[in-house]
Amino acid sequence: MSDEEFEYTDDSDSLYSDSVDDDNFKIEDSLVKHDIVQYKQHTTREMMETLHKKCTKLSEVLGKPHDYVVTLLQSYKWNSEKLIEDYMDDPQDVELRLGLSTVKLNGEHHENTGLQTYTEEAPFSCFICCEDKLESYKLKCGHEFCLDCYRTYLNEKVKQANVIKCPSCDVALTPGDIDTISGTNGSSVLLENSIKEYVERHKTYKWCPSPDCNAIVEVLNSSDIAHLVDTNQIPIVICSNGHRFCFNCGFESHVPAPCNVTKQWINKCKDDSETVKWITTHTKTCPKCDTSIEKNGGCNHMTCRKCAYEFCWICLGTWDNHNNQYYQCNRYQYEQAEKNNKSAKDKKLQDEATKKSLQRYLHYYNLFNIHEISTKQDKSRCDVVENTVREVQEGVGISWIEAQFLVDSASTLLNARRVLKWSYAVAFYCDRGYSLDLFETVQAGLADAVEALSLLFEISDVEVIAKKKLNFLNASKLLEDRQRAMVLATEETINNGTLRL
Amino acid sequence: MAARNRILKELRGLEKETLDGINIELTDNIYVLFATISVDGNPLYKDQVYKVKFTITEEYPFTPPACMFVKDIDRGIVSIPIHPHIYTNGHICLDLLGTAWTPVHTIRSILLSLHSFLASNTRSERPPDDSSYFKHAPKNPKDTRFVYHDDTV
Ligand SMILES: [Zn+2]
Ligand SMILES: [Zn+2]
Ligand SMILES: [Zn+2]
Ligand SMILES: [Zn+2]
Repeated sequence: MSDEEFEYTDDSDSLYSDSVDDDNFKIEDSLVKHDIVQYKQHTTREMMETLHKKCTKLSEVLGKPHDYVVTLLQSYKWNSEKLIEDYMDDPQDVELRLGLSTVKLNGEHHENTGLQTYTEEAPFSCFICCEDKLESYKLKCGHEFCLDCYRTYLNEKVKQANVIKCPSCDVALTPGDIDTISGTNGSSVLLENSIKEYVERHKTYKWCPSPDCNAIVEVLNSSDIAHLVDTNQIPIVICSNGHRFCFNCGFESHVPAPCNVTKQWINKCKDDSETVKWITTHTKTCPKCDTSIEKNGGCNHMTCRKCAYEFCWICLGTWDNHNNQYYQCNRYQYEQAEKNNKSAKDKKLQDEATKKSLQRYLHYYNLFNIHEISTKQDKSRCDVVENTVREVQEGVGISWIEAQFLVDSASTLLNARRVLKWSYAVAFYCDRGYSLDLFETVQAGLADAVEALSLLFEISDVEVIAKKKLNFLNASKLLEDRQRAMVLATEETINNGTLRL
Repeated sequence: MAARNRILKELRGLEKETLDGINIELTDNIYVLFATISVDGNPLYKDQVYKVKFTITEEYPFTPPACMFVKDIDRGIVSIPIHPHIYTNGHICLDLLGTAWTPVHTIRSILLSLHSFLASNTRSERPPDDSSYFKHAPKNPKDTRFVYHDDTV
């Protein structure tokens, strides 16, 4: 073991006492002032409760049943101020307009509403399906349809509406009607639609952009956000499932890139997506023997299965160079581009400039994209990390708490790779010069540390994993340090005016 | 299954009780039918016959049929009616064919709407976004999410 591996043992206790998130707060601190963004985490269930509370309050104010108020508020897209204003003005008009009137327009009053049953001898003839049925549902307007048709109708309408009305007139179905017809609590889907509407209407709320996550974040000092963004600070929030995202962009955390860099970069990538399609490919051929190689791990250190040639996935150069001159594949080869352009001497100067800028863009896009793909691969590996923890526990016989280093390392890796990825977007918008050289040296250091930890995760033998615990801890520690350095270097780049938009 | 029963019943009804100025033309496919419309009362469309195509899905009547004006050159139907809610390519901007559709509406009610749509129109013009829509329009009018134009015309 090297000296370096002992370094960490002293404060290893603190690793267990701090939660993962707390650690990362510190790392991103210089650009992310967490005390500036004050926010609350909400789950959809909590939001549902909030909306229900709103209904209960209003139901007391208006002296109307809860169900009725739910439908009212849904019709008003949860703008309770406007609803109260209109209702105080002319309650009959509101009721009539929303199909909640208890007085039928033509004066008829239908008593026997709700679920209806019929017999084989005298079945119900349904207008919608034109079939004879034994069960139907009747609203207070007197319109009646078979239960099957009503269910299909609800399923179709629930996709697009907050309020569902009688297929034949403007009478609104209450949550009670909907639950009876659907046989489940179908009205909760409507309420979920309402939550969507509510969150989208209120600027202080945002959905977590992470796929399949339904968590909501509410910012308490939303008026400060604009100022934060103007001063290149990133309003990062964390959802109740631990996903960090930028509240301003509604996009994954793009630390260290400021919001305006992020927006321009995303737009640029969208505009140029056709040009760079070829880059997104997951397969490349071994530079030595031409065997097709598929990348299935997050690490960029590739070994050809056939000829055992070791090379870097990014630049396809031999891996030997990467230990000493690891930044080779990080730095845009300006001289190279110059050489290429000389061959196009007869072309116009402007053509050359375009080509040069495209090459420059492709260089950074390539790096950005490789880490985007690697992130996905890291993520799928992190998804199974809990399993690995269990296997390590059982296989090696260590305690659960002792095996947690894997979970922490996985989280560190994901965060650091994201920071690395976005740092390429920053680099693209930087002027060439000494400052960018410094920036890219720090960046290369981070890239190196990312790959080192990523490589450890390729180990599948649980005994080896347990033995390498110190390597995991040291690699994580190094990665956190370098991530912090990257954030600081970005801040420096912004402060000294190297960043151009 | 439900769609088939319902369409058959509607077709029988249309056969029994015809509509003024409207003729139904069936095809060998129960899910595709045509109708010709003439509106003699309106000088804008005098002596003209227009043709409408209905394409019905299995989800009918829970989703509306796709409905658009078409040409039939062989029979001399060479134009799409000029109307502020009807595009050059035959697509129709009518809320009944989209968000306002419910399963109690019928082919008959669509035809009646289209007829009165034409009968009451006084403006000889295309929708304001006709030229841009024409270029990007999907093949199926139902794939367009119309923002319903002012319905007062
Ligand atoms: Zn039915
Ligand atoms: Zn009704
Ligand atoms: Zn989330
Ligand atoms: Zn942002």
